[in-house]
Amino acid sequence: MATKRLMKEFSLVQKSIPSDSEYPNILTLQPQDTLFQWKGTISGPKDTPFEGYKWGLIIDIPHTYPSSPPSVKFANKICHPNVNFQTGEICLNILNQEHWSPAWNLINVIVAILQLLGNPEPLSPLNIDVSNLLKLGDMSAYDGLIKYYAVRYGLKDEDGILD
Amino acid sequence: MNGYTDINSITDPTDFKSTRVPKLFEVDSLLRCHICKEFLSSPMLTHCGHTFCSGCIRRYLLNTPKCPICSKELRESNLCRNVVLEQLVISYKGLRKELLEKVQIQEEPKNVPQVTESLVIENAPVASTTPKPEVIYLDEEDSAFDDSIDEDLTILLESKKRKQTVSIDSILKRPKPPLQRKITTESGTCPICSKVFPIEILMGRHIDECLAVPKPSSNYASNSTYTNSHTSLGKAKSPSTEDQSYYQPKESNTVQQKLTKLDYSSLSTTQLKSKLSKLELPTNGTRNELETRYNEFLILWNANCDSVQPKNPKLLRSQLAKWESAIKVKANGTEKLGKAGWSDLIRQARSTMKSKD
Ligand SMILES: [Zn+2]
Ligand SMILES: [Zn+2]
Ligand SMILES: [Zn+2]
Repeated sequence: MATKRLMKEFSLVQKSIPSDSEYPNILTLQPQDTLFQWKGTISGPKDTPFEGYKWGLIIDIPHTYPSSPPSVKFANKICHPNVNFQTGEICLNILNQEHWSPAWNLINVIVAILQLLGNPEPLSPLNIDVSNLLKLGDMSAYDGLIKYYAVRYGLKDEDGILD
Repeated sequence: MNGYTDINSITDPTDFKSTRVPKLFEVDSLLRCHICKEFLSSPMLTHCGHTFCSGCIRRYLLNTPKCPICSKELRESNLCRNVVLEQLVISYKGLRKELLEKVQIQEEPKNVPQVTESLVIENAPVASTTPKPEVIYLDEEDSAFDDSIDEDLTILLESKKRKQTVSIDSILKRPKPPLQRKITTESGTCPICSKVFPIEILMGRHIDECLAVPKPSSNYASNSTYTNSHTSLGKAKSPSTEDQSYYQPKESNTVQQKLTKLDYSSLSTTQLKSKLSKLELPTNGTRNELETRYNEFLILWNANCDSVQPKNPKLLRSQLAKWESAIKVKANGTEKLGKAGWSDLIRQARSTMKSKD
């Protein structure tokens, strides 16, 4: 079940990433040694402080997929209220069993993560510092801090795109 | 169903996006299950109005008693068969490949004048080089379109007012290009037996077969019929070869009674083993494996009861065996295709894509 479904997703991804204009911020998405481990690269969405920088995503898929959600974390450090700065762990409701639907696929998950970049949720912070700036409404400090880390840890072109 | 499938045998609704009738994308999507993304197999309607494969929704409800789409509370007892939809899916699957061919945009030289029937025939070899991102069907019968459908389609197509260098009529009447199997010399390593095979064989039927080989410790019946009917070649069999069974279900294949869930807390391992052996299932493994085995068989069996074309129970046992070995393979981390295997697969997928453009 999981393998077949993942094979199907792989086929769909081959067709739509990165050629499809529908997902301009998903640069790569590929299985690694097995269909149960994927890597992706995203670019920061337009009009967010993340614009112009790139991050890697590490996706682990349980054999009960799609009944259970994949687990996704950032591969390189990112400063965001809902991402653990040290581990890359993402606080996103659809990644929890309780809110996950088997109707979603990996592309949907990454789109949700991209949305989270532009729409942080200050009520469930994993990064207190930047989340406090958001709560205080100090947007220039918020944007500044994010950019400071984006310059330091964002993937550069010469890092190559994960493959 | 496990095992890697031939990448070219994987269909999805986007196959229609760049055709003359992109709206067929919607039809193709609507006939698929939200969970497995395959065409609905024994579709079950929920009381909230959503539809899933019987097996998919039963498996999901085992741990989560709610609808995957709308999150309303849902139990197996709220599921209801949808026979007309099942027959519609079977019928659509049978004509999909031909439909896709007929709506494909053909690239023709700009200066071709009015295309006539005779020219069309001359053009046939050109058409035969057009790659098919489609399943290859065993059944080659050519009759899915009757005249009235042709007419409807012509109207539909004309309403699109797309620029064309070839008359629609000629596309609809164009003789079917000969089937072509992609021949590749690339090879990959089987994740189960570690032998090297041409990638086509590996992705097509080898892994299915390899998984179906009974483990010495178990008493699974190996069943070649099952293996054959689920290779990339067999799974898309047109219903025309199976009319008999779907309009008049065969008595011999009719599955009797649904199985019930077990209350494991009040069941000793010996009792559980005897339940399994009554169902002709293996009784080896840990307690957890025994329970998992029963649960999965329950899903396969009950979903089969919902089907208008029930399979022989032997096939269900072999399906269960494949499912179990896939899980074990995943747990042992030995199903690695290896970097080379993936890049082959990816290269293959890319070349398919390129030739499609
Ligand atoms: Zn399904
Ligand atoms: Zn529902
Ligand atoms: Zn093998």
